[in-house]
Amino acid sequence: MQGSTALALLLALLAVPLHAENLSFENTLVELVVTYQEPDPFQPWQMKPPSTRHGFGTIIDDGLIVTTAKIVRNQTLVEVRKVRNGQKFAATLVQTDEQVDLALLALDHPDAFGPMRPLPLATNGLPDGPITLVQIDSTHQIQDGEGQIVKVAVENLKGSIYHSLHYSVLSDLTIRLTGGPAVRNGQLEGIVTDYRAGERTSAVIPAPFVRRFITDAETAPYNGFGTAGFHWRPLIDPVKRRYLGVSTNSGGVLVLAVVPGTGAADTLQPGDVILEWEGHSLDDRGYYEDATYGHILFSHLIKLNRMPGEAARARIVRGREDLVITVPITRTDEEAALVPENTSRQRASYLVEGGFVIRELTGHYLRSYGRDWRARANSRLVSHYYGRINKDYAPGDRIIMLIGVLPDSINVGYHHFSGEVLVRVNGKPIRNLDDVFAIRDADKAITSFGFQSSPFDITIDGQMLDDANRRLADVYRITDLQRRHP
Amino acid sequence: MRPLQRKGPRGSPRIAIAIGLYALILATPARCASPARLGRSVVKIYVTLQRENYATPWRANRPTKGTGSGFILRGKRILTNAHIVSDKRFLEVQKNNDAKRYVARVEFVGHDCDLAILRVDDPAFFKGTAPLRFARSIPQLNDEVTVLGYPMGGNRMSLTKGVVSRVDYSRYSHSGLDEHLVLQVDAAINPGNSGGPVTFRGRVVGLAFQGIQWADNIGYAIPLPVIRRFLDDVADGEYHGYPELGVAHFASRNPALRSSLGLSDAMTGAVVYRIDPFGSAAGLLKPGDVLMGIDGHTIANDGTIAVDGTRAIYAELLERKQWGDAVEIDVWRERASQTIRVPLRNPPDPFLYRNLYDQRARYVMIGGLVFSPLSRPYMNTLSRSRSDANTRQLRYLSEYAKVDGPYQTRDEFVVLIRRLPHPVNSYATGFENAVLSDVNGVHIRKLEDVRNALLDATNGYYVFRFLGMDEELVLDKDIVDVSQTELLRRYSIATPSYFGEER
Repeated sequence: MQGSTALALLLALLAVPLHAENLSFENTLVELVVTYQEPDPFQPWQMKPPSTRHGFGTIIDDGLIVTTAKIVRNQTLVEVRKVRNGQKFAATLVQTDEQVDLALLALDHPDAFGPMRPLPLATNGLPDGPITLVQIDSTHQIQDGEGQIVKVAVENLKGSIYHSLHYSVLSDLTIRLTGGPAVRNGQLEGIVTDYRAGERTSAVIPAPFVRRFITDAETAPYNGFGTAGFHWRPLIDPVKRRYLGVSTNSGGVLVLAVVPGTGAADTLQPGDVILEWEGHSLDDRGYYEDATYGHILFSHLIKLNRMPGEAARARIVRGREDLVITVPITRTDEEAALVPENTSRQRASYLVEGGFVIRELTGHYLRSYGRDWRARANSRLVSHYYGRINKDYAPGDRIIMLIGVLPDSINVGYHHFSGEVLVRVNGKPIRNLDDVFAIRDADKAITSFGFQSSPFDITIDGQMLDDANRRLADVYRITDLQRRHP
Repeated sequence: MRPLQRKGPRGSPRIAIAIGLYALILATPARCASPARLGRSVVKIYVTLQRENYATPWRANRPTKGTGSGFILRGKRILTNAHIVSDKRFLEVQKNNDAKRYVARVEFVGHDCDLAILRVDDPAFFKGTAPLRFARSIPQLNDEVTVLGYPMGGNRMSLTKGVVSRVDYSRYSHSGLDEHLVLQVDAAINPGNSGGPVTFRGRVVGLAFQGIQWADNIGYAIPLPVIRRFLDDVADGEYHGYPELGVAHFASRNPALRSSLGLSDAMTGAVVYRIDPFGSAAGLLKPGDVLMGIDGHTIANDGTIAVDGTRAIYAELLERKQWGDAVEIDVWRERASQTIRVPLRNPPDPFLYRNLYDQRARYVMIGGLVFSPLSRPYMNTLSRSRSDANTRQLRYLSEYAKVDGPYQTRDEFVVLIRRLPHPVNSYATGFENAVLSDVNGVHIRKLEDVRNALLDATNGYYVFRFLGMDEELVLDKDIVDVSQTELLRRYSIATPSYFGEER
């Protein structure tokens, strides 16, 4: 890991003129060949077959490469390929953050790589004017194309649950792979995270996000990006504004719910109307005028301008009274949800006991049912995911489910149980998988299972359990009968 | 060539549809024991029907026409399928080789068993007919049966032959939910055959009623026991339907389970897993009970009993029961056996989502918001892959309301099915298909409650809250009140509500 002085020096490098710049990208732009393995949500003890994805990366410091998080997700090997050169160099993942879709890689042997020309990060990039997208074409040549920033918006991109500011860059260049740089005046203005071929538009993560991510990644612990922890809606409806006692032309958005365990949980209430955030007036759709980016959603103020651990001041209306409150910003933690999304597709914790395969429900699990997952997966689990049932939960509560029963003589008569929500083991109520593990540790075995569907718990023979577990592990080739959260 | 007037619900879990359109048409001459005699009593039914529209319940759908078959029973009755005469607006019957059509009326209809009895008031109709007679028992596998009726492909009566390929339980697609005994035959059964008799040695053993899409030589008939039960049921002048026991069970095969329940090796039975709150067994049986016998039949560990020389799920005994009968169930409970008499008189179950017929969709429109109770036909108007949280919640409620408990605070789920755009509700978006919880602080148990809750506005606003939603829907009472007439006119709605018969 390089020191911050090196980075500061790098950032201070003067820009080179853009003309005929593609030649100079030979030692800056690389192709990434990522071998990856995704976990198998239905057989959580194993991974799916390995596969390969390709993307681009940009050298931003000696031996350091920045790319998107989704390119390196669940990587088992990252290889870096130079332009016009078949040679591959191994790299190690330094940090990845799904919430901004950025990842930092370090070459294992930077000396062997040869000359590098790190691309300096833009210091005061403006979201308008021409911008150049650079990539490597299929014949391993550098290729660039001029584009225009046609939109600056806080939105969540395809396949992501996280809102973030992006540029939309319209360009004639057909983007082959994502992860490459957007450049202006020889400086990195952003990273291409998505490409919509039909609109010839690339979504670009602006340089300030890249800068903050890299700076953060350089020193442990990684702090990440923050959240205030509330759900809100625009408040345009004049009837509703009158009903809530807010004047029609004062702007402001309506707080619908607060997320347990976040800064908003103790400071905001459903029904509050947020008029100002950090001194910026919000309009009735939640937009404010940003000095750099113009008319954008105020969640940008939380995500980029504040670090977890800091706090933000807000002016609100609560019960027809004006209040100024301070909302702590905390690290966005999807693990706090009743049904975590698991966008980064981490391996799930699970327990196989007497053939009963138990794990927690995640968004990733449901999506594994394929394109039609909403119709194919169990409707109770889908409804839990959408948050329409069990809305009142405490931090740490999870939906624990029985994926199925691996047939064995210990569990005859139970093979048809699957997709059930597990609410009791050994007669004790459980809130999450950690509770299950704790009960197993205390009781040495789990011999009774109680599901939401019935007050009657089904039992297995505790005397047979050790033998059965050994047999099941052997027959079904289960390397580990359990995996616990680290 | 006119297909039968109806098919089963699209996307129903089973592939059985009422006489699939895709089987081959058989056109062979009759070679049967006196088909001429049988044919005198096999009639063609002409129906004009009009389905309810559950997506826009204030509108009537366009009437459609169809044909089916039926046959004459003793007592000047015609037996046919419920699905032929459901939602009928006009009904006529015609005999083979008779130019005249006679107006008919429905005397009884059983939607759960897809059977109906028609009456023709003109006595001239029955001239020259001879009632068909029932066989004593259902035929065996490989017995050759004859199917008579008026299927597609021609106008005169048709006769096809085949053998009994299977006698089994299957879902009746007309209700979409009920499972009863069926007779599977390999005789061609095509659209229009529905309601026609299936005979063995000149006696009726079944009534043709449904086929399977994309399958060859599989036709289904309603077998004699189901027909007999229907006729017995209506003998008192009213159709009550099948009583429901309401017990979900699983096999008592697991040794640890058996020992925890105190079952010896010699004892057999199935374990009660869940009791349906609307079933006859509610309050009498409970989860963990072991069902060891029913009306003197021993229940095996897998829940089957020996009956008529074959093994069937114990619930098959209920197939022969009438509403108001009782069953004696031998139960192993807390390591002791007892016999529990379960009267079969379960209340109507509003959370059982069958297809609905012969009734108008209930709704209420207020401020352009149309509310209607959750129903299976309404769910069928929604695409299965709709991704919004509200629709997913409806799916969940339609499957789990009784298991997980949401039914307890409601008599039905009142759904905001549609917003009719109007300045009064311009911002009331995102609520479609949400389930109403309360209006102006009044909890909504059933559709009529909406009407009452609107009498008391909250500080001049109508405030709607929905199950599982944080956001409130707020309308200005004064604007709603003055817009109501204008809304009715703009969207051509004759009446702002239909609550059905007062309950």
